[in-house]
Amino acid sequence: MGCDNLSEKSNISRREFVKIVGAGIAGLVVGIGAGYVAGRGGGGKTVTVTKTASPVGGKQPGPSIPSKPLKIGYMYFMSGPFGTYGKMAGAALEIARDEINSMGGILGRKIELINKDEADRQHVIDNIVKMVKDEGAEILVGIDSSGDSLKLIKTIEQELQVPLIVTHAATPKLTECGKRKFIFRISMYEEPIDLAAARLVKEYYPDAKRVANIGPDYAYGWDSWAVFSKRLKELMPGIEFLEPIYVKLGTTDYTSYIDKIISMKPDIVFSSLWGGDAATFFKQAAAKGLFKIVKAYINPMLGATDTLKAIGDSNVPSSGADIWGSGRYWFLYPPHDVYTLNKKFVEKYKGKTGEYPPYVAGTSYTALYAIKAAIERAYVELGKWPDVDEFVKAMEGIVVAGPMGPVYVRPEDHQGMYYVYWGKLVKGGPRGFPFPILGDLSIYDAGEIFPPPFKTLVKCS
Amino acid sequence: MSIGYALVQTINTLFYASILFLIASGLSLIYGIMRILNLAHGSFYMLGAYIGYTAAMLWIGPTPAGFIAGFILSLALLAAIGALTERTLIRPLYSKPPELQLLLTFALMIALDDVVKMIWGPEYKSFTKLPWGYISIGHYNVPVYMLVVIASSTMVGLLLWWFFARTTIGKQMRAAAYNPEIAAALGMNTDLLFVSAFALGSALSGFAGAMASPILTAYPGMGTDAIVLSFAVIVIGGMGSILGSVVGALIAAIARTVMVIVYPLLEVALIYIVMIIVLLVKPTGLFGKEIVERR
Repeated sequence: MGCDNLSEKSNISRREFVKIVGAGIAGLVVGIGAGYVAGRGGGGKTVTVTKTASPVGGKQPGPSIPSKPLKIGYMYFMSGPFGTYGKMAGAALEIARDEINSMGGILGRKIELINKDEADRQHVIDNIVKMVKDEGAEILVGIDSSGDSLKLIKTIEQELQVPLIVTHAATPKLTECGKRKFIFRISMYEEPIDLAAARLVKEYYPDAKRVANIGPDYAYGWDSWAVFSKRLKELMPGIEFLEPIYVKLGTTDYTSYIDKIISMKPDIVFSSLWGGDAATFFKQAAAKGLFKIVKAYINPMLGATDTLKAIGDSNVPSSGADIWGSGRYWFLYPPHDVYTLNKKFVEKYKGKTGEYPPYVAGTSYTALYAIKAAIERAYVELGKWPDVDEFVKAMEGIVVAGPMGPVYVRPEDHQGMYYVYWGKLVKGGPRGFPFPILGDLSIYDAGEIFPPPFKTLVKCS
Repeated sequence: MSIGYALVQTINTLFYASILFLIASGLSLIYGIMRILNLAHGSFYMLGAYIGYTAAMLWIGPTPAGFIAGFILSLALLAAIGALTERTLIRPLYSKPPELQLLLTFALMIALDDVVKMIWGPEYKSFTKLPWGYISIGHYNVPVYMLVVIASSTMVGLLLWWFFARTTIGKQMRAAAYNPEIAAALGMNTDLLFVSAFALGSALSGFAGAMASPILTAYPGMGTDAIVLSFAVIVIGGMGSILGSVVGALIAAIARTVMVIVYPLLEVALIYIVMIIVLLVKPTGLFGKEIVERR
């Protein structure tokens, strides 16, 4: 039970925790302020926040700064069924690279991106090693699969000792089950989203009695339900959980499951199905009238543009259940009229790819700016290009402005902290979008929602 | 369990069995007549799904006409693709060891996944609407579309029975299946019979794809899932038997629904457990005949 392999650092006292959270919130407030100011006044200079941290941004490399480009290696699924994830993330990384390079690079060093395909399942570890040892990557970014992220811990921490900024894999175990030295995660992980979902139920459906679950039959589906249901039980002790249903990834016929759920008479259906599975389930649920008999359908992975595209406007029921979705970044938040950085990013991404940015694009873009901010922060303090240890130290506690707003990298567990959003699904057509979108966002503050470092509800072993 | 619930689950089961039957009967028919195990058969199902999508969503719109056009188009195109495949790729291998056929059709299966991605892209293709509305059974909803699929599949089954029992070409196909040399010696055009059988089997798979995709969606790789399941169906029912495909598909669908209701974690496993038991007890399948080795 719990996290067995914690370092002593995790056993922080309550007082220390309050201090840490306080610092985090303070950081976020400063960050949000800076972000919004940058957005309002700067007319779209995407780097206003990070650039002010650097006294020499844009100058030629100084004597202590290597002159060769900074190689950053990224790994995502670039082919196969999940190949779109890698292409979307890669496009966002290229946008960030071009922006940074056009302003002179990081302390004058240009960024060069190299990549390997995570879909090459036999060689995930080998390819990471290859990027570092043979191809000279100094920093790594990426990783779609939670399983891969865990598999890589030993290689990164012991063998390579090179920073890895994770932007997608969302298992709590990566950051919350033991102190990592070289691994950071800039993207939201599962747990805060599930915890916020429990709060959402309490706030919006205080008289809900029965909650059903249908999720994918692997760690994510099980963990997600465990976190959500445990928290909801604390908030609403009278709530009744129906027998959770888990289905094989890639199931295409959900009709029997949907009628089974209807026969269980739930008020709320929680579902952690994702990607094409989420879309297929959703359409069949709409056709089978599930949304007519429940109060709410809540899916932590619904805020993904590819899923929403596959669902399509005509499958969004015009009456009946509230349909709630969340994700790691929603391209319409913070609102474009108050936060120019997001607006500019969305425009650039759409210009480059023809699509609205999915969450993996937002988080990978932010990763490159986090790297830039950390190196510049180290330079301000040390007056030189940081070595690996110095870079890690500079990453700890950094606040970076991404399209989603400011992200605070918590020093203890190297986990990026920002708000969790939940939004109600509405038709996109009337609002000028080619797919359904999330409206009426409920924003849950990171400082309130995030569990303390290393205090996860998921079993670590 | 209420009557309404039992009824909708029965419809769900029959819908699933209908799709399985259409895919498996084509696979079984080709094997029965030609002794070819076409691993790309599932990919023809996928092509049918995409053709149905293109007709209903891209060309005509999600109206009844669009869907029906998709069904007909996928039948016709897959018959043509099947015939072409037999003539160009399969025929040269008749005299070669059967492993080569497996390798070739496996390669075709992989290639077709990429072809689909090149033409339609890697995303899931979504039908925005089902035609013909819904009926309510208690507080359950049943898309009429599901009933249309069940009816169509039943009709196809009856037509196949009639075709093999009553028509000359159907009888000739059975004769050629039994002994191609003697059939040829009797003056039957076995080349024509084989290409017709392959075209018919492929058309059934394509039709299955077009019927299934409005509910099950179309995506690259859907053929692989389909082929594995249809193997189980024809192993249970018996290779080469149309009646076997009917019974195999029903057993697979019933096993699945029962598990969904009773113990979802075994939903996928049970059908393969049934398959293993059938293999142990009656290796030719429930309705299969002793397979005559042919060279």
